[in-house]
Amino acid sequence: MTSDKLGLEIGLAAEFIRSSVATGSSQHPLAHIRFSEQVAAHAVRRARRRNFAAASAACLIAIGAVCGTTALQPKALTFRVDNSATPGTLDSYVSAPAQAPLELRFSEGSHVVLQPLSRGRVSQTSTRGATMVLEDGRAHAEIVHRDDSEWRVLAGPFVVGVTGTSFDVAFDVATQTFVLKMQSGKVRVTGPGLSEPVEVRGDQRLVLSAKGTEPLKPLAAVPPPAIPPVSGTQAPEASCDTANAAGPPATPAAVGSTHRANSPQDAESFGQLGARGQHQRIIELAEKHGFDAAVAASNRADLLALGNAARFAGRANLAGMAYRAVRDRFGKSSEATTAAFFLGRMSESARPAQAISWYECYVAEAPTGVWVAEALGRRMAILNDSSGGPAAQTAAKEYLERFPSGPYAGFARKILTP
Amino acid sequence: MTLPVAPVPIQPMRSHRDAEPSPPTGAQVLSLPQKFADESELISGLCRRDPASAQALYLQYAGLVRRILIQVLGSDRDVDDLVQDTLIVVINRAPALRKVQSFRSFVIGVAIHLAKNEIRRRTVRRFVGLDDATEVPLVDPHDASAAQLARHLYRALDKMELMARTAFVLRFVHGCELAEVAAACDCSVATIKRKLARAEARFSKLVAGDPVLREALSDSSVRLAGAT
Repeated sequence: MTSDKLGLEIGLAAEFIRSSVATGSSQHPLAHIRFSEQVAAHAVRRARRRNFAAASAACLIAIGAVCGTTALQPKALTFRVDNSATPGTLDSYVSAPAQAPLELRFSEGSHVVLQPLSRGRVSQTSTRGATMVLEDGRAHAEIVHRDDSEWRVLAGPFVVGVTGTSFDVAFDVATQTFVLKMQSGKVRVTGPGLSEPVEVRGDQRLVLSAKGTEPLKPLAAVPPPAIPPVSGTQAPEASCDTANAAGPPATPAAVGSTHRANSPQDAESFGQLGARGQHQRIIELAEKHGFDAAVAASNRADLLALGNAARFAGRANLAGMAYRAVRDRFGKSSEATTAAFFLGRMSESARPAQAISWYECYVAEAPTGVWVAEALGRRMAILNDSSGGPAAQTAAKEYLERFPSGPYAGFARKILTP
Repeated sequence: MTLPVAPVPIQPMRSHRDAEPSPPTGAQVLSLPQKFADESELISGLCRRDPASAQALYLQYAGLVRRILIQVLGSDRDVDDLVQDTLIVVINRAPALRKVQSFRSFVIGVAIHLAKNEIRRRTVRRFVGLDDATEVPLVDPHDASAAQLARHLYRALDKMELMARTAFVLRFVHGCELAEVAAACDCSVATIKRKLARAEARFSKLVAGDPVLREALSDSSVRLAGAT
């Protein structure tokens, strides 16, 4: 088809529409006035519509905000036991088997690992934390840090308030002993015998007894280790037996829990200072009043704190004096047992044989103590370094039997490997 | 002796109401539409929502808008409402107008926009069976052949793309300049040229496929209503 023909067709069609289609109207003479009135009415309707739209939008925003707030409302934590598909139930007991630990994973990322043969339960959960009850045994907790955290671990009568940290906690029902070993962060511990919450931080350890005035159970006797003479004074031969016999009945022993009004450090006890990590202050106070006087006037918790402070300060002689004083005067206490372990630690480099004796003493006195794995492992290492052979292998076997996944397990297997 | 007395014509009595003429009861005093010197003055008045400006806009553009709407739609149904809607949109959007010279194109563009919406709406209504095909309003409604040609012509236009259809009507029926068509269709001149070329080709195919159109538009003796 040529362009001329195309143009003709379009031209004819256009001309037809132009001329034949009626586009006029019998317009009312006052149509323009009616139109202006319509415009005014339209403006009113438009303003009304705009107001309605604004009100509707405000309502929608309000509804959205309410829904959003509701949806974003934090929910109470949930937890799962050992990666099970179903969430755990509050207040139902969980018990770790003898062979393997049992892990409790919480929805906010925290997790608590119950060590073998330990048992506990989750008693309560909230939007900001949970309350875990450790009935018996040991647990390792990794709590996610939050400013408004409300995490608590109840171990026996003791309450560990957590804001975000990593720690090991143990409670022995038999001995009513509470042990807290910090790894990072800080916690606050409350319980019987503690007049105010004790803050434990860094790598500190806290050992508390909930037995009240009852004496601790009699401890098994082991050959007494030889005590090295300290700073020219003749140290008495301390043994498990003599120590046990010498001490007065145990009090609600706790680090930083007792305070003696007539002690040299009237304002604050060594135990309290030690719980806050002010070890240098303990040394200063002890030196101010005279170390011997301080040792004589201190109770078992203060003595242990004094020994620890001296050990941290590198004052081995003073530390040994304090530890031996604990063992001499409070032989049946948990502090005396702990002192045995630390005496072993201090003797390792210079007198390994004595260190072995102290470790064996500690294990005999506290067969389920928190330092048992450490004591047996260190004893094994010393035996391997000094004599080696069958003694070290026996120690390694003994260690592996009790702590197959302990920190020295690899070393023990290495000893046993021909 | 009697004196001749010139007869005095008796005047009909006038009531006191006749002393001053009064407007008939129910009458209204109306102001004549204001004449605006130029379009910028009209736009300023529209921006102020001046009723006189609205009246002037109506008097000046209602006919043009009506003509375009009927020619594009091929129907005068609801066209008065559409004219009013078009002019109200123009008033509402007047504050946003920058170029005074393009006011006419702007009015045509608004009308085209509403016409497109109306075509879409009618297409949907027709599709779902809610709308019947309406007769094209003709100058001579009794001319059966013109009615048939108009019907076939708008049926062909219905088959064209919406933009091409409006551009086709504006350019060839209404005689708008390319720039004005482009402004009304909200696209560039180059685009509108392409659209028109396609529209011409499409129209040619439609004419070829419709015996009524083919016969009427190829016949040089086609009788154009009103042309005689």
